[in-house]
Amino acid sequence: MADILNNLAYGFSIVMAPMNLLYCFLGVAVGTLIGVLPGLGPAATIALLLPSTFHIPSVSAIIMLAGIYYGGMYGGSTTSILVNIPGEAASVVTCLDGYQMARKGRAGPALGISALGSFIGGTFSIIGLIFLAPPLASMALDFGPPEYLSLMLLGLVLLTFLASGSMVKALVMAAFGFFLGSIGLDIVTSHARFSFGSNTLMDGVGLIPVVMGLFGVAEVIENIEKKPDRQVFDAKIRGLLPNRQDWRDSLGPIARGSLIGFLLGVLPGGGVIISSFAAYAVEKKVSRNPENFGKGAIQGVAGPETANNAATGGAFVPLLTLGIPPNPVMALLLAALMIHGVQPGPLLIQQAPELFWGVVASMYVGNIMLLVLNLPLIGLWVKILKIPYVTLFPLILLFCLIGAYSLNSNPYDMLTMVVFGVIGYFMRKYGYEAAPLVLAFVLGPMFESALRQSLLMSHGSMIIFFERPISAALMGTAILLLVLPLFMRRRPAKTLRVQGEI
Amino acid sequence: MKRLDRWSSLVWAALAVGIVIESLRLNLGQWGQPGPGLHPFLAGLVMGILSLVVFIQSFLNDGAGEKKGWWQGVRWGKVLFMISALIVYTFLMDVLGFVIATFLLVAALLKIIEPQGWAISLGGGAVMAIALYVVFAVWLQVYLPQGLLSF
Repeated sequence: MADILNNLAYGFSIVMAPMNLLYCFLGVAVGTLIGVLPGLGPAATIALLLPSTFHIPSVSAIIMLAGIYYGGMYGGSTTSILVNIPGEAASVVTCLDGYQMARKGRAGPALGISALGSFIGGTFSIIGLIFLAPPLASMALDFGPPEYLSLMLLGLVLLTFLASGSMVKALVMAAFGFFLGSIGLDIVTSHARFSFGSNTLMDGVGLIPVVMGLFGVAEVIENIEKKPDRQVFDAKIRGLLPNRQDWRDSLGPIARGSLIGFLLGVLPGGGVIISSFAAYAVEKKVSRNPENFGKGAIQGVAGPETANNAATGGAFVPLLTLGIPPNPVMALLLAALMIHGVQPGPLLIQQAPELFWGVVASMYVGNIMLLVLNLPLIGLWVKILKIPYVTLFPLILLFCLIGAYSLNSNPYDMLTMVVFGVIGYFMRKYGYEAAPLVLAFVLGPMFESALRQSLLMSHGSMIIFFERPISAALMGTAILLLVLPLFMRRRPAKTLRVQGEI
Repeated sequence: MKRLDRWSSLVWAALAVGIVIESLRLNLGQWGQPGPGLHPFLAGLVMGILSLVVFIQSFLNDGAGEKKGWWQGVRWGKVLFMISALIVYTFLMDVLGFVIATFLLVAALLKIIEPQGWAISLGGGAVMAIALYVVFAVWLQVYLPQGLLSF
C-alpha cells in the first residue's frame, strides 16, 4: 500500500510538470471537442494526432492521447442529451433517457449527473487499474510465445463474441485484419508479401490511414449520404447541479456503473459500448419503476455514463500489463508506445515507471479538468454543436488527409485512407464491424511471430498450445467461446444493434 | 441483412481465395520451419471458410419481413462525387501543391455536396486552404507540398 502511494506521488510529480499539464489539458479538451462533434471519434482523432506527437517525450504523448480517449466519453454525452444524436457510440444509450430529461426541461441535471457520474466512474477505474495492473504484469512475466499466442487468440475471440452483430462476420473481419497485417516484408525472411511491386505496399499497410479511413472517412460518407436532420435542443440550460433527490436516485446506478464498466473495460470487446448498454440493462432490471425508463429517468443517464468512463480506465489494464490492446483505441496507443521506443508488455511498469505512473496520475488530473470543462463551460460546447455540418465535413476530411500525408509525405497513404474509407462505409452498410479488423491488424505481426516461434519450439507440433497449463486454459476458453454460440439460440447483445462502434 | 449477406459474403470469399493462392506461391514452409506464406494462408483459409458460413446462413433464414435495402434514399451522386474528389485530390496534391489542390477540393465539396452559392464555395475553399496551410505547414511544421506556388 505504501508502495503504491509512493509510486502515485511519483506519478503526480511527473504530471504536475507544466508541459505535461498542458498536454493533459490539450488531450481532454480535444477529447471533449470530438466527443461533441459528430463524425470524428476518439479512434480517428488519435490516429490523426499520433504523428504530431513524434517529437515530444513519450510520457507527454501518451498523457495527451489517453486524455482524448476518456475526454471523448464526457463530450459524447452532451450531444446525446441535447440533440438526441450520440457524439460517440458509447453514448448511444444515454439518448434514451437523457434527451427525454432535456425535453422535460431537465437538461441541466442530466448534463450534471453525467459529468459527475463520469468523474466518479473514471476515478474508480483508475484505482482499479493501480491495484490490478502490477500483480497482473508480474504474472505475465512467465509467458512465452505459446501463452501470448493463446492470449491474443482469446482476446480476438472475446471481441467477436461480444460483437453487436454476427459473430461469424466479426471473425471474417478478424481474419481479414490478420491478412492486412501480413502485407509487406516478411519478418523472418524479408520476402515481399502481397506488395505486387508497389513500394508503398512493401512497407506494409499503415495502421493510421486504415483507422482514419474506417472510422473517420467512412463516417463522413455515411453522414452525407442522406439529407441532414439535426436539431439542437434550444432552451436555456440552468441548474446543472443535480438536487438531493437526483443524487439519491443516482448513487446506486453510479456505484453499479463503476463496477460494471471497469470489469467490462478490462475484457477485449469494445468495452465502453458494451458497458454502457449493460449498465442501462442492469438499472432497468433493479429499478422499482422500470416503466419510467425511456421517459427521462435519471438512473438511465447516471448508470451508463458512469460505466463508459469506468471502462476507459479498465481498457488500459491489458495494454499496460500484457501489451495486448483490448480495442482499436488501445491498439493505436500500443502503436504510439512502440513508435516512442517503449516496449509494451509485462516489463513496462518496471522499465518505464515514469510512463505508467505518470499516465495513471494524469488520468486523475484529467478527470478533474474535464469536470471543469464540462460543467461551467457547457455553454461553449453547445455553441460548437450548432456549427453546421457543411463547414464541418470538409474540415474533418482535410484533417484526415493531412494526417495521412504527414506520416511519410507519401500521397499513397492518403489513397490508402480513402480506399479504407470506402471499404468501411460498405462494411457499416453490410453489418461488418471494424473493431475486430483493426485489432487483428495490429496484433497480426505479434501473432505471426508468436506462432512461428512456438512452432519452432515444438518442432512443428500444435500440441504445444495445449501442453502448457496457462496456454491450455486460455486456448480452452477461446474454443469454448467459439463453440458456445452454436448452442445458444440468441445472444442478448444482438437485440441492441450499435452502428459505427468506437 | 440476410439477403445482403449473400452478396457481401461472396466478395469476402473471393478475396480469401486470392489470398490463399498467393500465400501458396509465397511458400508455406514445413510445420517445424514455417515459411512466409503460412500466416496469410491460415488467415485466408479461415476467412474463406467463415464467409461461406455467412453465405449458407443467409439461406437458412429467408429474410422475410426485412426492411428495404439500405441504398434506398441514398444520395448516390453525392457519395460518388465525394469519393472521386478525394481520390483525385490524392493525385493532384503533389502536382498542384497543397494550397491549390485543397482550394479546389473544398470549393467542389461545398458547391456539390450541400450546395452553397459560388461566393461561399470559392471563399470557403480559399479560407480553409490558406488557414490549414498556416496551421499545419507554418505553425506545426508539417511538410506540405508547395507545387505550383513554390518560389
